[in-house]
Amino acid sequence: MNYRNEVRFLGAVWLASLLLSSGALAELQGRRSEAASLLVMPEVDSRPGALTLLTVTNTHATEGINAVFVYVDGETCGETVVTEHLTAQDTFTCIAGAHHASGGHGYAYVYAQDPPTDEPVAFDWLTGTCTAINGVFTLKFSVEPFAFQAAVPEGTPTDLDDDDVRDLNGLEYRTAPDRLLFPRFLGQNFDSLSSSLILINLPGAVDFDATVELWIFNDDSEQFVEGHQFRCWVRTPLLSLSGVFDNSYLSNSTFHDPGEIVGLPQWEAGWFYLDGKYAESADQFVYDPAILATLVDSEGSGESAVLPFFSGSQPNGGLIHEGTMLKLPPGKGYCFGDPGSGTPCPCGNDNDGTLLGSGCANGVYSTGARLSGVGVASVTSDSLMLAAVGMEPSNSGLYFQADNDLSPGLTWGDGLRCAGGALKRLGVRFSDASGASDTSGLPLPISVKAGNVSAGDTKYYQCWYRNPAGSPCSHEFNASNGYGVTWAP
Amino acid sequence: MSVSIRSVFSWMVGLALLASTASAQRGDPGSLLLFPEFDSRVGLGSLCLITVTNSETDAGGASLETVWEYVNGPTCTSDPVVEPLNVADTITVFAGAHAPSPAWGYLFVYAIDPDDGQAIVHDHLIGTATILDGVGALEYTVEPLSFSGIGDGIHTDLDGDGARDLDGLEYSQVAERISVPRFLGQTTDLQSYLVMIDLSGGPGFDTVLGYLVHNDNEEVFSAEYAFSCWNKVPLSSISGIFDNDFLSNWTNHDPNEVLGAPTIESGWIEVDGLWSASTTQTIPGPAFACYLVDYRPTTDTMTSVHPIGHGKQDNGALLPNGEVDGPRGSR
Repeated sequence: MNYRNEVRFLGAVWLASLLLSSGALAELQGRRSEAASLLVMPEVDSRPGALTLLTVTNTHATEGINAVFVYVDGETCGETVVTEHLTAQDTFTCIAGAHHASGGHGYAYVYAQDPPTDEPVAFDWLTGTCTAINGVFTLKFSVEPFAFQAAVPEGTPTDLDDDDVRDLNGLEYRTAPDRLLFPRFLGQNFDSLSSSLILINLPGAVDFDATVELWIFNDDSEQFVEGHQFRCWVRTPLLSLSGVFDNSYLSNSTFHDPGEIVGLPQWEAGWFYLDGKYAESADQFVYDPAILATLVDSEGSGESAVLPFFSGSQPNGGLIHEGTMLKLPPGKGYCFGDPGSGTPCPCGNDNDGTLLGSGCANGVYSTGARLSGVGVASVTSDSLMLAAVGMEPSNSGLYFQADNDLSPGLTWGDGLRCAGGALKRLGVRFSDASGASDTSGLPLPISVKAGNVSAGDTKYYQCWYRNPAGSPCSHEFNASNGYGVTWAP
Repeated sequence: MSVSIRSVFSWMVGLALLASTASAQRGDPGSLLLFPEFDSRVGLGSLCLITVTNSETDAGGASLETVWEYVNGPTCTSDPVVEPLNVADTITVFAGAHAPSPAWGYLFVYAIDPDDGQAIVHDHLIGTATILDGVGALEYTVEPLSFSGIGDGIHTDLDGDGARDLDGLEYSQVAERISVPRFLGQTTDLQSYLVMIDLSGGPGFDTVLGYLVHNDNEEVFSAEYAFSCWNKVPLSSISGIFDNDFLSNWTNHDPNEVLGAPTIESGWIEVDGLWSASTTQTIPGPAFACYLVDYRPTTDTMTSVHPIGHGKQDNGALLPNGEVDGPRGSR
């Protein structure tokens, strides 16, 4: 797919968000307890002596769908793909080891695929569950999947950038959470209790090492921080992540609450949250990578899972085929006209929150205009393209570059000024009938046009645009959000 | 389904579904947590470990108290316990040592202002509950439903009635309908239980839930079940449809499923509140919550299967002593 088509798709996404004007797209983060187009089952064990019972159900009353099961081996990140057709209201339950021949221990994801075209599609009607049992059918624990609804209208293809990756970026599917909050852990080695943490690395497959931070709190709010590096998928004992989890350590070496656990105060407890710190391969670096995780407690023959709560949103995750490299956006948006964020828009015209990360509302679209980028921001191989949607249709806009981030923004016409200093005009573009334009038609690459871009520089971009039609503050011009790009060699 | 159907109709369907995400969730921190099951009875073979955590880590955050209302299912009466919860603090309790009296039912926990005792918006509460057997072996985890606080942005009890209204004004709503993504055919060695909570009626109400039971080949059966307040009942008591032999011998099931274990039947369930009635009042479409527990007697092991919600129901409420305030406008 070329960039023009990508912009067209982005425009379609944005138009859909306008139709869904009740704020339905305001929440773009994946969830647990809802039907969705993509389900991630955090653990599937098909090794001898272990069984995993997987269920996926199509809750749609009249329409059938293909469910593509992708089994990912945690050690190699190798995939086995099996497709099942689910008619309307159909359910499919399997022993995972009987469903795919590759065995192994890892995770699985299941996504909706359009039967005639074999394309991944928005179909937010899939539900499921995953039950771990042992070889003699002893029930161990069940986990509900992480559910990602599509970010595009029902029935439309989700692979907007045609990279065959299920991008959890708020454009194809909802984003992954930024932080995973585990409401409790129990002191390890007390009465033979041991816990394991299941970790899934979302920004990269076999080529990426991800480092996560664990922020651990005992039962009296005392805080500890540990880091851990992993690749692809792991299930690792809590004690291998940090000795802080040890019951004796918590009891003897921390300022814990001696009255807790209420009813059994010799047993310590606490909570922790996980945050991705970075992920890196030989040639890519991802700051604050998206991850998924589940905690499993084991004691004797019994096991139970503790699922995390979510905080924030992280758009750099994807479910990636073996060997595929993630296409990361070249920059990051900032300085939004969202309600309650940063500087208020000049005349109370904060956007309606339905188009994630956009500027102030204008006279045509209450979403405001959103500036984003695609391509590669490299001074030696520059294919960066800036694109804006949500502007007044068939009118002019100026794309410009500056050296300084003016967050949280200065009032400027009907919008906010987000970039300033050493201003470089990149070019004027006219928006199309939907209010979208981009820099693809400019005669020179952005770094060449600007002329002052060096490797390692961070530059700030914005689109100023005319808006005489219904100008909310009567200034008849407005601005997109800001977009920061750090240029590579 | 065809991707060529890109009509306004399908977008409106999408809108309706996406709009439903404002209902209570598992996974989002909230101001009110509803644990569908606890057991504080002593010596009856199970223990319940409950945790509530304040996930706000900003050192400048306000001090907080939480009210824990243990509602006894058989009587619908409750006893509150108040616990302080500092920034980044967590409290874990055995219900039997924490609940004021032995009980078996459900629990809700909400944030209050320690100065005036009023229920407040504090969408940082997270929690979990774990059921253990009598000798401390882990059985299964109960994930709470999480309700975000709304109110005036600070306090939630807009109407001053003392109820925690799950109406989209004080707190987010519960789902209108629930799907349990799978059940397994019931046998003497696989017994499942459905935990049900009535959130619209009270101790004087009988609430009827309607069930659409789908086998593994899209054949659907219906059933109804009446209960009061809270109950945990075997699936086999709700309907014989769940019986493995019935599903295998008397329905048009898929003989190849469960794939890898075809003698085990499976299916899924849709649940909807039909009505809740006392001697003087009938509430149509009552709010409710439920989840499924699987039990295998020969291995004495259990797991829980959490449901998926659809739509929103705005007539739920939580009150001390199991009282309810009925549908809005009827009080």
